[in-house]
Amino acid sequence: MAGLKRLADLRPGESGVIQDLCLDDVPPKLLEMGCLPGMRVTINYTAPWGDPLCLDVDGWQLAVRRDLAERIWVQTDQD
Amino acid sequence: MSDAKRALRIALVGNPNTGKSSVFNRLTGLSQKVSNYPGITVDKLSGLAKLSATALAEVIDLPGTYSLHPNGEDERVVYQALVNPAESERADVVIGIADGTNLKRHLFLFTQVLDLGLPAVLVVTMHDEMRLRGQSVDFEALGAALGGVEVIPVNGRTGLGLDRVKEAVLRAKPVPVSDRFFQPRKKGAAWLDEAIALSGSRTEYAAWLWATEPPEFGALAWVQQRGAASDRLRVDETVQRYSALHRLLKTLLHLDPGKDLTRSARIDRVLTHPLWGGLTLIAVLFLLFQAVFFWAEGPMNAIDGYFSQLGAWAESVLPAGAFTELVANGIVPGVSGVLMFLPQIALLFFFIALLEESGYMARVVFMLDRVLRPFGLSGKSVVPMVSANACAIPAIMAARNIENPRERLLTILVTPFMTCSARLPVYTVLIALVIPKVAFGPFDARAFVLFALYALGFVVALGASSLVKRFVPVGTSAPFLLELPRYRLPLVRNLWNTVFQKSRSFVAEAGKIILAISILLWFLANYGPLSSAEMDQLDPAQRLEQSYIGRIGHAVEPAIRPLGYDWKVGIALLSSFAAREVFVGTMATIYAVGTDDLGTVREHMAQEINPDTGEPFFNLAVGVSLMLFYAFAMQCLSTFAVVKKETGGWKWPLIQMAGMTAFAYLVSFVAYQILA
Repeated sequence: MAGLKRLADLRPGESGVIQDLCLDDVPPKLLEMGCLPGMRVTINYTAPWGDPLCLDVDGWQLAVRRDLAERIWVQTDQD
Repeated sequence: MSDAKRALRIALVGNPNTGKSSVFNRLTGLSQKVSNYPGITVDKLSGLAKLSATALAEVIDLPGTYSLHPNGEDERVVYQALVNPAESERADVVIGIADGTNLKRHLFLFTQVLDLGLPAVLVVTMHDEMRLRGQSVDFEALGAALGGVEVIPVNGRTGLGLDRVKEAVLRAKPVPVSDRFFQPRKKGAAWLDEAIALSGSRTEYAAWLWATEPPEFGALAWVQQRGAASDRLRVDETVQRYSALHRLLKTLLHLDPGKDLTRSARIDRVLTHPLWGGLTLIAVLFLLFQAVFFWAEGPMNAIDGYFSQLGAWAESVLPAGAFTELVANGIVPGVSGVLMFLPQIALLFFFIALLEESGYMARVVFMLDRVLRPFGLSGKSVVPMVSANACAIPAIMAARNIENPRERLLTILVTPFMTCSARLPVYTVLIALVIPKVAFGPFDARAFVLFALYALGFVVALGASSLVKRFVPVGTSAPFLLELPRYRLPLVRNLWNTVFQKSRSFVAEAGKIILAISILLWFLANYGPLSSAEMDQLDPAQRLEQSYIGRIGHAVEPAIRPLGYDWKVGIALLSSFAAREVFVGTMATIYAVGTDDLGTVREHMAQEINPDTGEPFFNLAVGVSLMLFYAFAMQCLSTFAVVKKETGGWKWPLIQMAGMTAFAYLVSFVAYQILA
């Protein structure tokens, strides 16, 4: 079922649409790089030990640490 | 100030990984120079470009950034260069560089530039890649939508399109500031007029940038007093700008679905795979070290040989006297000591540039981030730590890429533990002296000891970092955000330019210090409290003992006696603070005196007898103790100077030098007492 998940809980290949971001939690630079509410992000793959994660954002690849991905909520449409 | 005759100043502005440096290299060729922005450590890269038969312009390659809101010192340079109220310091024209495959993100930055009211031209790179991805854009319509900007596709590899850029720059006019992307007045109605007046800004957006600067840059946290957080305002702007761009590109950008966009991601599934990626990384690092140590050997020996001949030649040609002595035994070896390392450093820079240009370096950072984090370091600490195997000086400068201040500081503090190439001659001489030439199966004992010393440097660097991190405040947490650029074939021109610039700045930075210290040492070793007539009566061995440095050596002997050293080693230790490799030269000078000067340093050292025991002085205990001391002590004034510059004060370099040297003393003491 579709639902609200933490970005960090998605598996490689899964994607979701970024929800409202709490500014105390995420750096403004993330938004300036194009990770905005409403954008679809996909987990491409992760580094060994599952951290950092490589995201696909609008056709390019961005790596973020897991602790940041835990603070980003996404709306998923898969199972 | 009259600037009627000043050359046109062009600033290149773009995201990292856009092909900006290719455009810069194409425009300026070999006229580039590196200087410093006043007061900070960011390198300023500029060069001259011939725009037409009569027009010459200064081109400044500004650091890559994603936004005009600065996240660090280097990004603040971009903001400063574009909004500086002093016209003489400000750019006249901006060339925005945008990667065509990622227009939205790049236009975000470019529309910020336009809102400053500067004349601007937009260069779109990678449009061959756009075609591969099935993207196409009507450049003319895009230019019109941006308010009348010339938009020119350029191929960074062939330079195709650059002539059009030059013409466009010459006729570029300020674009009328519009509010189609962002309206500062809407969000800042209460304070914008006051901000314009206070900052002397020429446009509303310039005042907005000024007012929302993060407080750590020392600007007035003025807006905050009015109840609006600068982060909040930044985000409001970001959201507005992106949604305007989203609407714009919806009509202008044509996408052909069904194209494969994932080539880089597919390569990455292998190259960042826990097993295959790890093996690839080990292979790459192995190749890099192989190259740095074995390919550089020939040129290094050639430089060494050339300078010893030059010294002998100078001695034979110039009239005998103190000046000749200084040239032949002070200046020439000093210059040689710097240039010796150039082949290694150039090769290392070449490989690092290759890894960075191809996009692989970002993957190395990505893979090792989690591994290095428990030690307080970042994946981005990898570049400094690898570079430090050649020389700590460029390595510490490379730590600028780490945006988190704490991780950057820790990287700077522990990088000198890595085995730089100046330690190598010391290790080579000592290993040959005290480690027997025996083999255990395929392992040669001497090679093993050398390898162990390298491993030790790395392990101690990590250990030191996890210890020191307890004492470094967490401070502001800059996030780890890393773009993994597409894999690309590196451009020879870009590689060459990087190697050339970095080598030149190494020679200039390290050269000054090493040269000065060599001259100073020469004076200390040749003059003493006695008059020169009295000095002349002495034989060379006594003369050394009576020189200033000999006296100093004797003075420190009680302190280093527990480590197994005598005053002669003391001299070598002290002179090594200029640069470690001076050890071998000093030993050569000290032990050559009184002999026929035909043997090697090692033979002379092997003949040295300990007067207390009657055994050879350099036994296993002394040798191991000395090697450990050289492994851990921060005996490098150039590194000290660089750390002071990069950390902005005396505090950290002093702590670093005291800490490393105390640790070295302790370890050498324990090793000597156990082995002796």
